[in-house]
Amino acid sequence: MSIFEYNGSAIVAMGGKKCVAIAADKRFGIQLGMISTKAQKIYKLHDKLYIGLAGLATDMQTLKQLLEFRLNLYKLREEREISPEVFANLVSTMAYERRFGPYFISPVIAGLDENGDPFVDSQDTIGAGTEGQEPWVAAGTTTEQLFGMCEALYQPDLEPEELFETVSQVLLTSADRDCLAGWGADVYVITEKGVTHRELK
Amino acid sequence: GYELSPSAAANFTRRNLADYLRSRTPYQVNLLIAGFDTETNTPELFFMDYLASMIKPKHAAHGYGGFFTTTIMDRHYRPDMTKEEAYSLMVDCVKEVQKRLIINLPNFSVTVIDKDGVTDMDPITPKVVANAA
Repeated sequence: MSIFEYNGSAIVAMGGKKCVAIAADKRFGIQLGMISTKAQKIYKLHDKLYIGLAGLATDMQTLKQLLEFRLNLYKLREEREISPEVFANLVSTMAYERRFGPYFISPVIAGLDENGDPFVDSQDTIGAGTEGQEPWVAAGTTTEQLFGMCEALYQPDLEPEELFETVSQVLLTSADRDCLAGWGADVYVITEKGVTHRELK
Repeated sequence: GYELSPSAAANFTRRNLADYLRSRTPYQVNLLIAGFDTETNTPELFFMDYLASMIKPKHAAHGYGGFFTTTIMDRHYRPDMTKEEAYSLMVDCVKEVQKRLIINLPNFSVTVIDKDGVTDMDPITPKVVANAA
């Protein structure tokens, strides 16, 4: 069995009109068994930057702690919050440092840049990223399904409410076709005004 | 000083396990860490596999037997169970493991952790199982 399919996950991030959404499933499983339906796979870094981690659960937890550590250092030194583009580069560099013994993780970064425009980035295990060039990204064991749903349902410049509906449909429908992902979803919609977090069953 | 909270102990263990995972001498052990937090006065349970992935469930199990006991607990567990009710659920779990697994596992120890500390309850033996049926 592939090490990327040991735990299972579905993560998607999509840009809208001055907003961005990121969603993930809630299954924590070990191979064919489900251990918990309350796993958290998306973490807040600051008000306008969230990261979703797909892949091996132990590395997800380790990387979350390492990133928090690096972010706290950045904030102490720079006395400001990190921008999504810079953060994506940081994650990429950290991943490549482990080129010959990598973290088995696909990070998905979603945030709003200085102008309030959406930024999404998806990287592979050694830090090769889409660098904000894509309108939407997907990661995890469900990528094939997510790609299909995103391609079909995505429209540019969706308002936050419409974006929420779109992302929710994308994630739920895709995860229903993947035995290793699902069991609920966390959906975050980030706008200038704030973040709405909704949980789907 | 003061003692480690269950959460601190579990997270420390996870960090250690994760650090050793990529060394020449990784640990190969699955864990269930159970404790009582004296600050919040709540019991806590942590599930950790040998790769150091951790979660905080209401009930948990490891191993092949775990496949059966997980579903038994899904069906019968309630968050407001008494110690006696929980013991009875443990007996149900043991019964299922003994029924379904080819390996003969006749005796199980039972330990309870609460505000008064760690105490052993009556071990689950073939006699206890027979009486409960």
